[in-house]
Amino acid sequence: MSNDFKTLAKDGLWNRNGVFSMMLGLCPSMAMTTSATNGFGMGMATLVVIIATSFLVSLFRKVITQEVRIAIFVVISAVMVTVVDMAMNAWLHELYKVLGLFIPLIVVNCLPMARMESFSSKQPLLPSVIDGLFTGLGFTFALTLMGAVREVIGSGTLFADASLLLGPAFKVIEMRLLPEDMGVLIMILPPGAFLVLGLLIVAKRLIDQRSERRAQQASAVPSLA
Amino acid sequence: MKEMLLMMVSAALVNNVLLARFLGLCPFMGVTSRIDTAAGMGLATTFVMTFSAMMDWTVQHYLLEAYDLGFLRIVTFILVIASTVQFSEMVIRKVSPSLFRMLGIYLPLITTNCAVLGVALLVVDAKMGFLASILFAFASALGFSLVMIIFAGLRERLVLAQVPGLFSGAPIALIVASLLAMAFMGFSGIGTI
Amino acid sequence: MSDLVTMPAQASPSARRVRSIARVLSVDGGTAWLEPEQTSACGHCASAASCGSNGLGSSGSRLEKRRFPLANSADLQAGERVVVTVDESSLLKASLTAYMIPLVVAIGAGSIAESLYGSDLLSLAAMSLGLIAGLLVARLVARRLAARGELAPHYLRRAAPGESCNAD
Repeated sequence: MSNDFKTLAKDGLWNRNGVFSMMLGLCPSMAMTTSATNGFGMGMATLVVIIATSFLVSLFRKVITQEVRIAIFVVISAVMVTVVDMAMNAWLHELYKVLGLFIPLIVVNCLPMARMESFSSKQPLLPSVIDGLFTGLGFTFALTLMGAVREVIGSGTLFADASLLLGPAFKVIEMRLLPEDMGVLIMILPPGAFLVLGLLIVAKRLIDQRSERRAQQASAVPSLA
Repeated sequence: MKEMLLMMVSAALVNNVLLARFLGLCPFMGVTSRIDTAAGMGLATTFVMTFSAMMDWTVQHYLLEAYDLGFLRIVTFILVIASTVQFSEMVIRKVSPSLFRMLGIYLPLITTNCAVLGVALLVVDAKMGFLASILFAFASALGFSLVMIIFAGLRERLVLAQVPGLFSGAPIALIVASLLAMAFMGFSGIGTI
Repeated sequence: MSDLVTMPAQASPSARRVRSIARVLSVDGGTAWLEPEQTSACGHCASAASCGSNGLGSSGSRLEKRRFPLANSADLQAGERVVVTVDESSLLKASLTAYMIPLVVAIGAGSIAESLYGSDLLSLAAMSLGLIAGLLVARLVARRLAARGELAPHYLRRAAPGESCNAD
């Protein structure tokens, strides 16, 4: 596992994207992406938890024994999630009400667990935090994208209620892209979630395939000369 | 009596844990390539979900509420669930080692199943009585198992179909899941909760 | 037991067998002791992290607990890899026995207590007793199933050198 920050960033955001590549953390990805704002909020909450848990696990990695490590990971996760839950209840109350059940469920989100298990427990402090940051950002990106797609096709708006959920400063990004009655309701309902995720994974595979082909062509050209 | 049944039907079908509430999606994508593994996982989850709901309800009422420790809910619940899983493993081994050999692999996966923690939290949020909570968890879990088995059946058929390269594996499974979710939407309107 | 990719187009579903690979640990007279090979059942969720259990034991000790004896009809030696099969319906029967019987008995006991007394605490007690009773019944049923040989794996053949358990 390379500690090179650029690699960590690229992996966390794209190559090893929690939702599109590893298919972890699917529960919040489907449930909380009815709008871009919700997706963004959910992603941010998870980001905070991932960074905090990566930090703590890396800090204590020398003292966590093999036998109890999973239990420790779970407890650290649970404590951080409780903190985030209470903080959001206090300071981001509207968002807290929307995300509801899924904030406590960050504990069992496979993504922080997987990062703790495979990275933070073995790597020093700074790379772990950077990895956590970019994994979280990749997750937030995935959720916001899904939310945006579902919201635009489903109700025609983008980032609706941003000022309500994230704070008055965000009013500027609220926009309506399609007239109200042109929305495809099913996108906001459960079937739409599965559909959008499936299609976005295909899109990612397509992009990866194209860039791989281009890289192959680029390296093949010199041999033709 | 009728209310209980209605509540159970709504927990199992109308607000299906997987297709409507989006809980438990990891095993949904993971172990549904064969019907028997899906059934094994579903039944194991039913067992764990019901009994951890029972434990969580007890802890909530006699410990957390009695001593105003509500903020410890997340931590205690996840520990209770993990203990329930360990306990179930030990118990199954004692009851029948041959059963354990068959079923042993599914149990640890259930610890991080969002459905178990999710249903436990839903149960305490709904503030129902003891038996109602247990039946709710049991019915939710049966709905979960049902959808897992149906989806596994669909995926087994999918293996024989000609799927375009890019779509193979996860994407086509997700698209099939969205159709299944659409079908289950037909249940909405029955009952409350 | 974990599974290989079986032939999907088999005639009768009940005859389908689930194949998996195990390693011979030791041979003791007419009985061979085998241990299942680590499968990727955990890799499915990609959270192999939580697969290692929550506190007790690692995946290694987990495999240890799943060791099973087999009649050594093919003169196996220690260290060989073999393919064993399990009846597909066995998994379903095992699950139903282990999980549904205790559950149904427990819930039944709880419901009866609730309708008779209406007290939460008594229902809780009744359900716990029902659980224990259900587990004892499950043990009896499991013994009968095991006696009929439905829970045990059957030896199929030796594994080819490169063969492995690739779960879907």
